[in-house]
Amino acid sequence: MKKLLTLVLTLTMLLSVAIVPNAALAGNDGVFTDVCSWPPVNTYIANYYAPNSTGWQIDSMTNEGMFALVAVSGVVYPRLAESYEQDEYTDTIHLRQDVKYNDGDDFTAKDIWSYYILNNGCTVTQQAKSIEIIDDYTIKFTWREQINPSVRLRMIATNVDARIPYHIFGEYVDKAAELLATGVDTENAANRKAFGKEYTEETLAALDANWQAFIQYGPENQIPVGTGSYMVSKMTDTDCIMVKNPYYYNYDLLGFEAIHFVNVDTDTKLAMLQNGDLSRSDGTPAKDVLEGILAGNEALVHYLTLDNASVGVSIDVQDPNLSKPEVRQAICYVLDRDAIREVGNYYGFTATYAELGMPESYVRNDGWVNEDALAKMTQYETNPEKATELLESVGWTKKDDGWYNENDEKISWTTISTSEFQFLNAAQIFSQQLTAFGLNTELKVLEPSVFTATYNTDGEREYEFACNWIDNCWGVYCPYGPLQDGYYKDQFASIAGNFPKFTEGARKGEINMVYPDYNGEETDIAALLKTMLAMTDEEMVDAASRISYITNENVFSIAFFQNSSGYWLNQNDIEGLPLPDKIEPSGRNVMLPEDPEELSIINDHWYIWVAEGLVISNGTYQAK
Amino acid sequence: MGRLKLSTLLKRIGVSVLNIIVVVTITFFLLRMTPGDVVENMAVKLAKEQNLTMEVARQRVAYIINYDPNEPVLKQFGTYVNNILHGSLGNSMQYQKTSVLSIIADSFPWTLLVVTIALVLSFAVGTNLGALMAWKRKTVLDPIITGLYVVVSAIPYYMWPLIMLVAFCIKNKWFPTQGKYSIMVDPGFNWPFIKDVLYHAAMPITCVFISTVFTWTMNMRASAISVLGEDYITAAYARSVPDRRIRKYYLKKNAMLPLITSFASTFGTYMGGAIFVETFFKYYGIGYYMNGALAFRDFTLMQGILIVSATATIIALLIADLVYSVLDPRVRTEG
Repeated sequence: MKKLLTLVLTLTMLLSVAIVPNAALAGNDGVFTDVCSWPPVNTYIANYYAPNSTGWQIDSMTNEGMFALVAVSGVVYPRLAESYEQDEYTDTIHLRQDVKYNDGDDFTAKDIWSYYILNNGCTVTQQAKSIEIIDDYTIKFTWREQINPSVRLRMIATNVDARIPYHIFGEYVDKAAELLATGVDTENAANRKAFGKEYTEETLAALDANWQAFIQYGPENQIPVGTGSYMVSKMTDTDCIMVKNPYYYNYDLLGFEAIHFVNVDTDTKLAMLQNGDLSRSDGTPAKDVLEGILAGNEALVHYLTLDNASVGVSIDVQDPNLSKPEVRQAICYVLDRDAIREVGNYYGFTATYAELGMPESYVRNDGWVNEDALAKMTQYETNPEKATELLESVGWTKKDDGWYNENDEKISWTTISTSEFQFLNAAQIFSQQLTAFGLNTELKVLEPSVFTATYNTDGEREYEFACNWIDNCWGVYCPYGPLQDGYYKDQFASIAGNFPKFTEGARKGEINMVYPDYNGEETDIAALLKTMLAMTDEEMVDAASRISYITNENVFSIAFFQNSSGYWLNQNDIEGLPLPDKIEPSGRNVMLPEDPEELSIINDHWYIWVAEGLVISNGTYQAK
Repeated sequence: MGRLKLSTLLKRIGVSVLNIIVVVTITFFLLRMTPGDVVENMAVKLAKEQNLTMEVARQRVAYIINYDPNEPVLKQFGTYVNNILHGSLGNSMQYQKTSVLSIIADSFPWTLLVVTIALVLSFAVGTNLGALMAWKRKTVLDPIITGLYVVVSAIPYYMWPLIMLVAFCIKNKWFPTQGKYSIMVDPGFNWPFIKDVLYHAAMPITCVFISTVFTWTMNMRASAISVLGEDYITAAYARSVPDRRIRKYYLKKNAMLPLITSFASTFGTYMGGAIFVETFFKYYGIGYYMNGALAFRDFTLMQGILIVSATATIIALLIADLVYSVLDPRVRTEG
């Protein structure tokens, strides 16, 4: 009897489990499915600025900024901004008047102002003299110093999150405004904080405390409030359903009934992609994996895009052996960077220069370095004989077991890298190539936070080369942005590169690097960078050309390849794919187009979430 | 029957508490010796996301994670112990201001569900299978099961979640790929939700089951073969006791005894979370949070989970010890 009961119970359990319907939405008509990650819902706060807020992609559909910025191309599209006017010191932005939040409240200029008051540590607030609400739909930025208008626009556009619903967070905004009103003018540039003013320590502490209180607060129903085209309807740890924002000003353009985000890791993502469970996905995997996915699902199309960063190594320029530019140049000539690219990122674009301070595509496509400078810059093709010549010119000798420096000390170097495949693979081949040439180089693979701690050390260095992103153009206001990132005292390149700094005086802490530019004129890099923001476009090209020339000829870093990335689209789910005529001829693996207009189209569809779901919100993508 | 003296019980509890204290202390100091710069890593990310200067970003991170790496370690330990004595395990560094206790309280039941079902099933099936193998060790059953054991053991335990995920959840959509329950059900004490929870737990349970069942099988087989050589088995045969009765009352019960401690120990270990299973299936139990805490260097969350895991193991062993002395009258527990 007991056994019979056990059997019946077991069968009942199995049957009831078996008849649970698969409640997944993937594959449902009218539903757009993509991947996002977010924290566990029991820790989650519906406030974009909270560390435990919604994932990037969810936020991109919930919120809009004044502009949508396509990171890789720097193209700016108006979103909440309808138009703008610029003069020497001001930007006046006119906002759309038909915008409501997804809770029904009106969006006004006060919400933009609220962002800059609360997030007063951001670049715009640091550079602005004031940010004023002119009326409900007009906001005016007044700058402390002259800044190139296109740079200003991109600086503002970079803040894609520049709106904080005042009707929800007003208490914190008012508190921050009250504290900021106590700021005083100062001649001491080092003491200038928000709006160029100086504040007491107590005020700064109170501003911080207010910010901390703000980021712990969110709507009680845990639904993020925004003006974006979709809004969170339901959320678990692994699934998020977004439905159309009923108040969205372009509601009729929206082609999907719902957006379904799944929180899965990379391996599961790729498997789901191949299985047709995703409408879209970011990322270009290794060549064999990519080809396998394409072969496994004929509805998938992969588009290759440029990434606005390069993979390479920073060099410790104060290391006794590497302080000589001849040695750094020699390393460049040793390398077969094509071979490095093939394992680092097969679809990347091999660098031809040592490093330019910005990805090479910005130089070729956008003309940020002039022809005169380019003509004088060295292109470092693989040339071991040239490398040998350079090393011997500084007194180094090659023996049976490797190279020895002028003091007869054997060369033994270390490269550090994290385990991310584009860095690890590239660093491995880099080290192998140097070792094969006789410049013995070992590779240390470090966990990311250990990597950061290692390159960020003030003490004795354990490495000579650090492999990471270089020529990083995430700041987008090219060329100032990437050059500033490359040389600013607080960023990876200058820290890992051990760039010399002023140790005393008014310029203490600034980069102390003066070199002849392409015209032979001595150029103080830090001083030049400081004046770049105020330059016209033409002046900026000249300044960028000078710094790029210096960077390339002195080989402070070595770029292996400009990274590429990509995205996948599922033809079974989406109408409105870019460049439809190229899909079949390319075998559904659309390479980077050369035509600028086609390239622009590809860029607009890429990193959809950085451009705040532009192609969904403007109706480009429709459900199939 | 053996009796457990009160003094012995108290002694055992005292030793268990001491073990927990040692675990807490060692893990606290060991974790702070791990290399890596949590603050800088987070600051770089925050600066990029919110367009901040590094100085501002670092300040914000220090507030968020509520951790000052420059504070003396002994002072940190003192604060930590004081918090424990007041019933607090601190706040998570990565899940800003969320208490470790609330995270554990939320995640532990899910781990308990999966682990309990999986281990009870695997123990029941494994011991029965092992006993059967010992009983029929001269038949074809023995080599077949042994062969299966070899194959299963050769596959690293952390591969099973990936294999199951691809085979049963992605290629054949028989089970969900991730999560504790579907977004389409309403959490609560209702049959659709309960069904859905079991449905989502099926694959994690299966992975833990496969990882452990053959261990019980082979251990039980070995133990049962040893028991089969005992005099009382021979005597039972001689008295014409039916085979089924011998197997059930003479063989299984005696052969299972040594496995009880092993079961308790395994149960306690899994209470720390089946990290790979929970991570692959995005099943937010304790193991999942532990994995995230390790990657983030979330010291407070790691410590909290380690305390839970250590306590669970120690308690499980203590219970096994007590149960053993009750089950086996030959064991006399003395102080």
